[in-house]
Amino acid sequence: MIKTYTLIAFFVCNLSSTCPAYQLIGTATLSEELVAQHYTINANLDAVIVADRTTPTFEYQTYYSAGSADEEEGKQGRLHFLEHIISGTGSREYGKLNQIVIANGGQKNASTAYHYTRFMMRFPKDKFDLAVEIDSGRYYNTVINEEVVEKEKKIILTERSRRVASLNRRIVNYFFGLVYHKKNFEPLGTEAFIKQLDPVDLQDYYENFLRRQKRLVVVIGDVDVDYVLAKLDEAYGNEQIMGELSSKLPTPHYPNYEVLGKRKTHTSKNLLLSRFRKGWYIPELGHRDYAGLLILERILEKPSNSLKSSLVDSGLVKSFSVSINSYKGFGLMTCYAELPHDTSRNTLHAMIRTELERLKSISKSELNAARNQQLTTMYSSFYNRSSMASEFGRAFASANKPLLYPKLIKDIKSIRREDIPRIINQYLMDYNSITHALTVPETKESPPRTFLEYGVMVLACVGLIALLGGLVALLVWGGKKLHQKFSRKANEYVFESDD
Amino acid sequence: MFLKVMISFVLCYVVGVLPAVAEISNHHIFYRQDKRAPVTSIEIVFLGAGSKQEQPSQTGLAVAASKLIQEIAKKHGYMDKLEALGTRLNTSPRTLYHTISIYGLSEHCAESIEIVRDLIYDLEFSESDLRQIKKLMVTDYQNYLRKDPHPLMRNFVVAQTKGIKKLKSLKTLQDLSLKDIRQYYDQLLKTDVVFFKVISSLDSTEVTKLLRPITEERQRGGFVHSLKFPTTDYSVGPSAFVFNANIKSVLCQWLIPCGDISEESTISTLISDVLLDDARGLIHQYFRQELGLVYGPSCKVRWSEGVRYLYIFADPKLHNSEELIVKMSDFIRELSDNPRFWESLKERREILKVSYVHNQTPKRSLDREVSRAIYNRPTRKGGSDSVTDEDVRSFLEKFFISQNMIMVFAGPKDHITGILNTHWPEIEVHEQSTQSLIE
Repeated sequence: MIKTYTLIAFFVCNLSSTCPAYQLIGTATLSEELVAQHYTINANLDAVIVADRTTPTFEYQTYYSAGSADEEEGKQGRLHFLEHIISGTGSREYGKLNQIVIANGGQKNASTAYHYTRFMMRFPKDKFDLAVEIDSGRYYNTVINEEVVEKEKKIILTERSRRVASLNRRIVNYFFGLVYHKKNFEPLGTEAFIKQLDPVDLQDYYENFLRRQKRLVVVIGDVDVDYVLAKLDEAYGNEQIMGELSSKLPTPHYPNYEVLGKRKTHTSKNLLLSRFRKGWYIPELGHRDYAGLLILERILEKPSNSLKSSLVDSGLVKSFSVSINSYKGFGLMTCYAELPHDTSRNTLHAMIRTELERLKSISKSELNAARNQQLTTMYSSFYNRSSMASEFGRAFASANKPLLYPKLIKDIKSIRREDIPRIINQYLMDYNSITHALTVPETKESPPRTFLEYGVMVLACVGLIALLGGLVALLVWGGKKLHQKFSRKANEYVFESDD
Repeated sequence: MFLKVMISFVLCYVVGVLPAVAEISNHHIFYRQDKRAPVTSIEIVFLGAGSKQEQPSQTGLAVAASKLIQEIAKKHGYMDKLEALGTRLNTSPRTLYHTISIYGLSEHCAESIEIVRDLIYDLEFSESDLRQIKKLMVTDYQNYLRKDPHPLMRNFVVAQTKGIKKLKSLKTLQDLSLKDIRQYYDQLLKTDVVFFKVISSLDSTEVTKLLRPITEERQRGGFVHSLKFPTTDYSVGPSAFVFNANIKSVLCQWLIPCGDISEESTISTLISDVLLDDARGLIHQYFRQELGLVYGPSCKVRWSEGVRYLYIFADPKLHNSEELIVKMSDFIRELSDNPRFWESLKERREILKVSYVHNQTPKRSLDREVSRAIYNRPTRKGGSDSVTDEDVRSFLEKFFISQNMIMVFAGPKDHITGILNTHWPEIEVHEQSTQSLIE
């Protein structure tokens, strides 16, 4: 009997085309006022919706789960180029989209991260139809022609040259080249590669790579959830899902064993301060130990009675920061310092090690303090719709689970003292890290010279001066001869032309 | 007194939106409830304290006092106590006021307030603390120079051309004495008006109760709030400041001084919106989209020691720099005759009618309300809608002229002076070292 009803329902839905394709697959309570709902709109598109009526506007962000680190080495930069075209032009004439968004009281932006490409819009609450229209227009009909490509190329090359000019940006690129096994890690692409891109290449990459990635739409704001779902269903519910990717994402293989446990050093003249970056491979967001690592980051970073304060206050470093980020299939906990050239990097390594050893016997109060601080930080993003949307987007891009952020808040609350030493031993060891330093070249002091050496130097100088004098005399003589010769020729020429 | 505060607070709360006030009553609470997160942010604002109270020979005093509060909080365990609750402490001096603020979990708010009360009323400064702070501030000054010298450059050139005080000086910093700090802090604690700026998941009655420890013990007779600054009506005419830097681009800023802090700012804000509020901004359209000379120009209205100015920033590559500098300077000078400006103004008026809703977040509306109360500027009835094209034209003709334009460049010195000599041989060029910004 049940089977019969199911079959009837199936046929009714298919025939009338009124049955929505979306499905609720999870909800998470963020706070007293905010609840996140996670839906599947079609096989390639998910949506997270949070109704927040504080301000009569809404945030609309679209994430494609591919970013610059997912691009082939030597061909990086195409996603960033497409991001410019999709965000700037979409399905309209060049320049029109900006006009439409702004005339309707909206704002828009876009960015390309290592593992996702993101498009952001913000509108007054009555413009939801327009937001979906722009988003679906961009998805189905982005215009990639000669005019658009040439205009964006100029802008992108300017943007690129600005980034390349930044030493810190170059150091970050080198470090992530080590992390991603890429000799030349250039998220915006090389200048030569960008210059030769044409509309055909980009159209092909758009159709066969970017559009085949899984997407997430995040809507947060003064919206009616049912209406949002109906509009998304209307735009994407009947989408023809394209087949397998023609160029699949490279299979990630982390960590990079070639550099694991190594300490790489580069030198550069005229450097005011040395740079030091140490990153430990850690599990991705969603792993049960991620919360414990966030607690450790908080302790190392706190402004007083911490590794950071002791390093800065003692003058060993000028600045010090610790951060945690989740990437596709892995995470990184990174310490970054700017230090005077005479601070030994070994001292820095030793101080980090000592602090981590101390933290293996973390007190209950220290753990609670770090927990409270971490919660304060995490709750802050609920005040900012754009940050909140980013948290869903990042979790989607790195683990395909957008609602990990609220889960992480729960994990933070339940972390125990005994987890900490295990986490340190498992992840925060030197053999599980990559270190890169940039410093000035070493100057070798030469031993004092003898009288004999000074004598030889004086003789050599005299000889050199005599040789140079001879050369100059020869040149002057030769020059005069040549001058006489060519002056005659020039006069002859003038004479001929006058005739 | 407490009853008076309660009544005014409850009245305002019942009305919903607090009206702009000409004068802020002592211990007034500007408040918004926001239940989206279980956190509370409280700013204690000492109105009248701040960098305005420093003599030119005491530049850095307010910042030093601020840093000392933090340092002592660390040294005497207050910071640890706050951190244990997940509460962040911040202190920050502005030109006309000084804030001590906390941000943390609402459930620990009462305890955090008690700790802050103990800290601010039991503060004892020592010579060694001051020495330590001076050392940290020297590092800070050098970091500013290295990482983001543009605000320092702007303050420096306004100081040089308008006679205001330079905000950072290593010399005056070294000369600061413990006596100066104690005097400043004593005056700060007794500031005539202290008020609160609160966003919290807690309700108003709870917040009022929470703040009692701060208000109960306060004496008065310290700093008094005033918008009056020393007269700054002299100008050195069109000038250019060049900071030598070995980089492959030229960092360019154009400053257009336009009035003082107490004057209404609707027209200057409207013009800066037309020029560069978003991708429809005229500078973005023309210099980025059409000419492709820059990637991320910006345009803002700012104040430095009472002097208001509009500034435009652009960072062209070396080979684009001459074209950009010449075109941008002409663009500024000829703005009132530029038909595209008037079209953009018309378009911007329409945009403002629909985009204002983005500013209705609890934080932004609270900031606006507090700002209105502090600066007490004459407000235009009808806001930017009441500004006519003629008002804008007179403003442009008064301020957007060669004589009032200050150009600031950082990049290869010879390249920049070459451009200036070619196009504006009459202009007064000041070659400066970046170190002079903090000397």
